[in-house]
Amino acid sequence: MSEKAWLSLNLSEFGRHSGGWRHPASDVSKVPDIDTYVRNARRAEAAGFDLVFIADTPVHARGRVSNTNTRVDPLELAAALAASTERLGIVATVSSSYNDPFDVARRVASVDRISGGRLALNVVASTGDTVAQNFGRDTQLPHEDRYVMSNEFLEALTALWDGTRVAHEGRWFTEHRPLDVAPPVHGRPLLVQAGSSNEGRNIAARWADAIYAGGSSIERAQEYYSDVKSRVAAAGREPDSVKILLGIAPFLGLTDAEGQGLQGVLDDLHLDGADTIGRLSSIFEHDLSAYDPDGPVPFEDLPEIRSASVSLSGLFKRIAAEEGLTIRQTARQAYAGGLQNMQWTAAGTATTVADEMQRWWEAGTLDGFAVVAPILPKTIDDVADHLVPELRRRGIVPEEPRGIEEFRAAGRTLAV
Amino acid sequence: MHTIVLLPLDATGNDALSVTLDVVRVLEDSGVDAVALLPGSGLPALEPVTTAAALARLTGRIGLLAADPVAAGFPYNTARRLASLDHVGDGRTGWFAAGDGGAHDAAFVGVVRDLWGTWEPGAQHPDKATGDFHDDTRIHRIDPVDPHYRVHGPLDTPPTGWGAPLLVADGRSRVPGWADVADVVVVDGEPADPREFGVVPAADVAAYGGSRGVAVEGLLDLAWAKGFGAAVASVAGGGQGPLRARFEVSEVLS
Repeated sequence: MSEKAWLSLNLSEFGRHSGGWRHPASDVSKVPDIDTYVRNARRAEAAGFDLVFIADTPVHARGRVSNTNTRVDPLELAAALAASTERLGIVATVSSSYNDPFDVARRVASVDRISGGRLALNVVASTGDTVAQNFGRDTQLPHEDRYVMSNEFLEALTALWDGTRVAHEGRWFTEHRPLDVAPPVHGRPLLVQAGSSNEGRNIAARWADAIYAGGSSIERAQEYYSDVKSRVAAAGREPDSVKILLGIAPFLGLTDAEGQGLQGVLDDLHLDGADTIGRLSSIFEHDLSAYDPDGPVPFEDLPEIRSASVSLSGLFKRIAAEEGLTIRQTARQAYAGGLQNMQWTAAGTATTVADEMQRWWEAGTLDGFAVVAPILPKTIDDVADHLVPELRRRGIVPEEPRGIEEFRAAGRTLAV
Repeated sequence: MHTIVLLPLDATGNDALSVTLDVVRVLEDSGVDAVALLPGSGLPALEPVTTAAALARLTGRIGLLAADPVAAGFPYNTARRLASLDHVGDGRTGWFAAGDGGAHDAAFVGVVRDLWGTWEPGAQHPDKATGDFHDDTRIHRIDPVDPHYRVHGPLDTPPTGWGAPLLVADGRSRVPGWADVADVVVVDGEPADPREFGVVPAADVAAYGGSRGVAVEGLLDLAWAKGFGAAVASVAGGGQGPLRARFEVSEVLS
């Protein structure tokens, strides 16, 4: 485990809670607003954060609500943030399913130079047929193939950066051209991974310097932590060289009631006027509108997932079964509880939230916290003003900001 | 007269961005409308589009055009990175498209353009009272889908308030159909017929070269803007505001 916890902030337009944009504090006059991204990143840097994280899903999300992701290309955004910050590491997500490794290798090398070696790359296998249809395919590849491709994508990237003579020959990618720009500052950027499936964990064990993880209970997070660290060791790497950054969504207030109230307000804003059962139908790939909404979830009728997220549908099947929820209750949970389902959440004062973070930290579930801001800029302002000072007092995060160079140096071993 | 300076990104080393920034600031102060960032030679440190994104945060007025390969890779990614750059530059950026003469060059550029046009103006109208963020009936897929580049869209990146990035084509690459997809075509001289590209020596070549190892090819006269007659109106010095307005390319993409 790391001696002090690392800190990362997930950036997005209005925060990761889809009710965020409707909150009175949110300015919707210009969206996306790069100045706001820059402001939030600078605020995080000044507060002692080590990293900011930019997610990516290259497809328009239909529906009436806002997008809780990022809708600009992460590498262009990373370049803009790099020009406006000094010390912060910047994580840019890139799809391994719909990119040319040569193109990504040169763009990543360039942003890494622009940032002075502060870029980290999060390679993901994209999910969904609608994404595939933006890239010349009618349907996406099967789950296993997407991960084989992801692994090969990383092999091709590193071969290009290393200047290997025949850069790469594989099932999905063949690359003979030498890279036409200089390699990244440190030879390759930091590599991070997210994703909890078996294949995702193996890729992380082989390649990642850091892993973005989610945890819904301390026990599950402990299991995940030890499982990944033993996979890292099995891959011939030092377990401490891979930092596990656990997502936490903090709903902060000056009183516990105010923090809990913020969560309630955001949930209500998000639910107001929403077709929750329609949303659950698409998660399960089965039309639930004909069933009694106050009856049980018809597990026996649910098909095997074809193109939606296997993790997501599995999660709600499990929650519905374990808690004996009706269709309506499951749908509400799936819709309004997005953050709470995927992430560990904590609501209350900075002291209350820090108590929770200390409990998880001392339970050995993480090397760092990935703050999944429910609402931006409000959450980063509250975290900077109240939560980080509280974590400092407790010795969980260091007195002085460290930055990406120390992150890179800590327990670093190169992927093989 | 509008001027675009072609600037190959030849700088190497860890200070490549600051070296390039110095040159671009000189050009900005001199009143140049736009700089077109081109791939450098040798083993340069920087790539054009990401460099333009960084420069957009560090400059105030100059237009930033970025070269990005045509017909290589996925048009969706090309459309998205340039639309993203336009948000970073707040309408001050564009695509400097240089084809290699391939049969699909114009089709590729056309798909990128179509993706930029998938959002009708005002399709995104966040309304806190109703909870409607955007109107999907005004955000369209591409139809028909180009047979060579099967891209459905729509683009997930919404347009800026200024419309799409300015699409400047390098007319020297003689791509069939180029003039039909670009907003502005750069030529080596005044074309006799706006539908053809003349080849005469570049007028008004200025010597900005040699500043700490970054070469500047020179100033080129701008040729003509599509739909606005033979030549762009003569304007001394650089303008202000979004690039589309400065180059008098105001039509909505369709």
